[in-house]
Amino acid sequence: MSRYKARLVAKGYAQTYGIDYEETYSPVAKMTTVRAIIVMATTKGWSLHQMDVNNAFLHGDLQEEVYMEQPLGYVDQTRPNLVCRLKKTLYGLKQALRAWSDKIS
Amino acid sequence: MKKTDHGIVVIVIYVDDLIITGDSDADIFDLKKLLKQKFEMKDLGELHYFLGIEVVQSPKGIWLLQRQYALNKLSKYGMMGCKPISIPLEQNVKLSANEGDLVEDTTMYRHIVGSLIYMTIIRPDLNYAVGVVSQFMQTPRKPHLDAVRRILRYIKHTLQCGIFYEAKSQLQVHGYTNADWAGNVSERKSTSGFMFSFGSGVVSWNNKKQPIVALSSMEAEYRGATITTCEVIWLQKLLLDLG
Repeated sequence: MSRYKARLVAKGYAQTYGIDYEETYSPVAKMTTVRAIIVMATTKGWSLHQMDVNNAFLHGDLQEEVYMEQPLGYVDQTRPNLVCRLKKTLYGLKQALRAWSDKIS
Repeated sequence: MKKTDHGIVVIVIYVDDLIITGDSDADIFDLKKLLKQKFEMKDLGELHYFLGIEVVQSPKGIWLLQRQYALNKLSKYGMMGCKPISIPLEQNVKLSANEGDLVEDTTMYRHIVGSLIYMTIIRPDLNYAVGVVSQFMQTPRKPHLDAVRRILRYIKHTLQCGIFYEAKSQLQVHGYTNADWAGNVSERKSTSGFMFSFGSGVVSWNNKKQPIVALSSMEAEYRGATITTCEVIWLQKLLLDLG
C-alpha cells in the first residue's frame, strides 16, 4: 500500500429540491462532437492535448445556501451544536456536477 | 471553443476530462497555463487515452481503439476462451420478446449490454447488434443472452478494430440513411439508421427502432430520413462553429 485516500461526501439524498438545490442538469460533450473535433485536428495537423482536473467537484461555487452537520471525527468539541455553511460544492451534493460545469464554462 | 484574432482553440469537456486542440501551439500552451492557474489540473500531454478509448497518433492519421476495455470486459464475463466469430448477429434470426426461457441473472445481462453500449462509441459495426439486444433489458431470455454472447465472440474476433482517421483527406461530409420495414416481429415496428463520414472515417451513426408503426416501407424510410436530416442540421452547425 502506497497511500491512503479519503474523501468527504455530503449526504445529497437529504437535500430538498427548491431549498438546498435548484437545477441539477449539466451538459457533457456528445461523442460525435469529440470524434468530429478529432478528425478536424487530424486533417489540419493541429496537436491534440489532454488534461484532467483534480477533484473537479470541489471547485464548484455553491449558489444556494446549504448547511451540513460537522463531519464525524472533526466535530468542534467546544461548539458541537453548530453546523457548517458550505461555500463550495462537495462530492455527493446534487448540484456538484452542475456547479462545476458552470464554473468551467 | 474560442476564436482568437489569429486562430482557434477548441476545448472539449467531459466532466473532468479535457481535450484541447487548435491551430496554434502557442495558444494551446497559454490556455493550459491559464487553466492550471485556475484549477488544480494534471497536464497529460498529447492525447492518448480518453474515456477508455486508446488514441494512437501518427503522421498518417489517428487511430481510436478500445482494445483494453474490450479485453477487460471479456475476462470479466468469462469469455476470454471463447471461439471468435466474424458476424455479430446470427443472420435471418428474429429475436422476439417473449420466446425462450427467462435468464436467471438479469443484472448480469444488463451489465454486459451496458458495456456493449459503451463499446459502440467507436464501433459502428456493433451498433445494430447491440441495439437489438438492448431491447430486451427488461426481461432478458435465453436466446437474447445467446445473442449477447455472440457479440462478445465477435468482439474477440475484432479486438484490433477501431476507427482510423486519415490525416490526408478532404474534409467532406457524406451521409447515408436506411430503414427496414416492420423488422421487429413482436411489435411490427421498423428500425432505421444513418451514418455520416467526415474526412476519411465515420463520425456519427445511429440506429433506432422507430416509435410508431409504419404502414409502408415508404413511411419507414421517410421517418428514417427525417431523423437523418435532424442530424445533418446539427452536424452542419457544429462544423460551421468549428470553422
